[in-house]
Amino acid sequence: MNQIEFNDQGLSWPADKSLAELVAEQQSNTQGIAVVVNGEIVPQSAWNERCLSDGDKVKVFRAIAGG
Amino acid sequence: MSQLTIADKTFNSRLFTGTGKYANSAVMAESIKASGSELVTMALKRVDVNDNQDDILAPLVDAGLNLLPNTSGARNAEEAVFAAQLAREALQTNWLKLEIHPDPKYLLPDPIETLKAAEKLVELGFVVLPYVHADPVLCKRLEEVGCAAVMPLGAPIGTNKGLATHEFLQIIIEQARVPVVVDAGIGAPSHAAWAMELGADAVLVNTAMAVAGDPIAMSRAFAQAVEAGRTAFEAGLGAQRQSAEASSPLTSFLDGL
Repeated sequence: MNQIEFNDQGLSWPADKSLAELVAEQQSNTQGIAVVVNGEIVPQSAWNERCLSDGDKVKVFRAIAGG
Repeated sequence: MSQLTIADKTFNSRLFTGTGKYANSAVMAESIKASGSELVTMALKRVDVNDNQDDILAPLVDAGLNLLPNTSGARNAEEAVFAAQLAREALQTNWLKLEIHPDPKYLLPDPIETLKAAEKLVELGFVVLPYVHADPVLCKRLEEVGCAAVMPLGAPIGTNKGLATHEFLQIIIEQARVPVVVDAGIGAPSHAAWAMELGADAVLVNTAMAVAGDPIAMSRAFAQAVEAGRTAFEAGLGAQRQSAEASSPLTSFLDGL
């Protein structure tokens, strides 16, 4: 198990599970979101391939109502 | 009323709308439908763990609307460029409302950071629509760096004060070779109609619709006002005069009774 941060909260995450699985587990709605790992945007097309290392910081951004 | 083309898109409606401040997503969707708008703004936020709020994106996508994500929350060019890239990833569009307003009291846009960010974002392939003060010189500079339109403010965001900047909007409209979208401060359909009569290519309205007693009816009223204002502009308004000019022929038919 790796220790990662997901939206500033500590989380244990298996080394062989992908970013796509993490996002699916943490967010019921994956439409309109962008994911940043260690300050870099990871395009949705790369989520399946991307595994997470110890200490990785994952942040999720979502489109919301605004003017 | 003629169509409006900005970059690669052509619009039948010259009324752009925001999605903020509505009571819920159902009222928002109905209100946007009543407005006839084909381009709607959205913002971004960092989500909390298991943050499952009212889904506003699905009804917008289902309605076939074009999305215009904004960079609200960015305080400088660097943050705005990052926010733009997040927005492009989240919403799969390269259209962007560039807004950089570091001061929360008046939300006035920072012209220097906006110009810096606009230049970079155009290089990165974005269709940039910058929210700016009604500054004709800045609007020209933004046009020169490749912005697809300019969006000068009528009055500070959310104030409903109308076209406090109308003298400068006129200069911007006269000089611009890209579409001019009057954004912010439009608080009543009459303000929107006035902007269109001045020759603005479109207006962007959010607060005035969303906080109205009946947002759906108000959105319809804005649609009518924008269409009326644009039609009047295209028809060619009569010139203003200082002294009166009779509409009825002034004959001497009552003389000598």
